[in-house]
Amino acid sequence: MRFESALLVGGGQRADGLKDLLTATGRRVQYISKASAFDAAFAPVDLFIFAPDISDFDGGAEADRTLCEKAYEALPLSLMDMAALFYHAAPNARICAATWPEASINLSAGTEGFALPMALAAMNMFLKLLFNKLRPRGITFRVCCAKSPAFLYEYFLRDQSFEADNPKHSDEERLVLRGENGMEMPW
Amino acid sequence: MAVFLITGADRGLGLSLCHALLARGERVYAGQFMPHWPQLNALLAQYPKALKLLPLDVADGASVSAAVLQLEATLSAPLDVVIHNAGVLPGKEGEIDTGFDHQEVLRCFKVNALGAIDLTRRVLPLMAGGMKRLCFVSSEAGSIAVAHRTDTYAYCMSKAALNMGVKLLFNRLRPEGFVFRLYHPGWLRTYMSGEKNADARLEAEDAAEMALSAFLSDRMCEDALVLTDNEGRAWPF
Repeated sequence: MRFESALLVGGGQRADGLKDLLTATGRRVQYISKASAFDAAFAPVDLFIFAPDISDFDGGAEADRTLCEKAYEALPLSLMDMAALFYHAAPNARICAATWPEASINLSAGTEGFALPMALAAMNMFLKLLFNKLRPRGITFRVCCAKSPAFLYEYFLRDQSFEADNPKHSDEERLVLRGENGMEMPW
Repeated sequence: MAVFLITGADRGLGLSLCHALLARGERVYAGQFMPHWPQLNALLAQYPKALKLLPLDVADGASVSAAVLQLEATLSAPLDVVIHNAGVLPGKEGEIDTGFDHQEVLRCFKVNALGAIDLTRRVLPLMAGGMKRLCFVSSEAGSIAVAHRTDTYAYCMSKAALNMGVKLLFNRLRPEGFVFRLYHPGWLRTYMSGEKNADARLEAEDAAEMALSAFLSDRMCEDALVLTDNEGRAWPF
C-alpha cells in the first residue's frame, strides 16, 4: 500500500475526518496538534499532512496585532516546525497542506479580518520554498483548500494523471493550490 | 506642496526617498527607527522646516500609536502620501534541517508586513481630504508564483503576507478613492540585513527616483492591485 504511515498535524473537523479516513483504510496514523509532540518511534513517515484548526483566527476585527501574531505562529510557524521531519523524509514521501480559500491573494475579496489571510499567504510561500528545496529529491506535494475531509483524502493520496486530455492531468513539477472542486486556484 | 510619511527613513531607500522629496519642495514626516544613525539628523539640519522626525518602530504597536498621536498633534494639512518602506532581511532565521528561529521569523513578519498594515489603518483619518495615496515597498521575493529561492524563508513569507494585507486594504479602500502602489524597488545597495550590500545592482539614490516615479505618476486604471517593479514590469502574486 502506498503511504502506509501518516503524520497528521493539526486539529478541527477536517483533521479529525482525515484521521478517520486514514485509519479506516488500514494506515498507521500519528495525529498530534504540534510537530513538537512527534514520537520518533513512529518513524518512518511517508505521508505528512498539515491540517491546522483556524477557528481562533477566522474573522477577527481589523488588523488586530495580537491576533495576527497568533495566527502567524499557529499556521506558517507551526508548519515550519515540521520542516526537520520533511528534510529527513524518504524520496517517496508526500507533503500535504490543507489550507483555506482565504489563502489566495488573487481571489481575495475580503476587506477585514487580516490575521488568517496574511498567515495563509505566508504559509503558501513557505510551501513553495519547501517545494523548491525538496522536490528535486523526489518528494511530492499537495496543497488544497477543500473543506471536505473526503475530498482532501482523495486528493492528497491520489497520484496525478499524466494523460494530457484527462481533467485530472497535473504536473508534479509545479506546486499548485487547488480548491473545493479540485480546480487550480491562482496564488 | 504635499505631505508625506515615510517609514524606515534612517538610511538606504527610505533616506533617499526623503532626500528626493525634500529637494522637490515637499513636506516629509520621516519615521526614525535608529536615532543614533547620523544621516537623517544631517538631513534635518538641511531642511529644518520641511522635515519632521517621527520616532517609529513599526513592529511595536505602542510605538505606532505614539507616532500617530504625534502626527495628529503636528499636522496642519491632510497627510497625502504614505510610503511604507521599513523592512528587514533576517540573517539568522534557521534552516529546514536545523529548525527555525520563531522570534526572527515573527520579527520579520511584524516589520515587513504587519507594521505596514497596522500603521495604514491608524493614519487613515489623517488622510481625509488629501491625495489618498498608499505606497508599499514589497519585493519580487513575495511572489509565490515565481518563487525560485530555497532560502530566505522569513523574508519571502513576510512579503507574501504583506501582499495579502495590501490586497485586503485595497478591497476596502479603493472604493473610497485611495490609490495603491505595491512596488519591488530592485536589488539595492542598502542595509536590509544590517550591513550595506555592496554586491547589489542599484544605489539607493537612483532607486528612490525610480520609486517616486512609480509612486506619484497616475495610471490609466487604478482599479486593480498590481505588484510592479522598478522597470515597470508586473509580477504575479
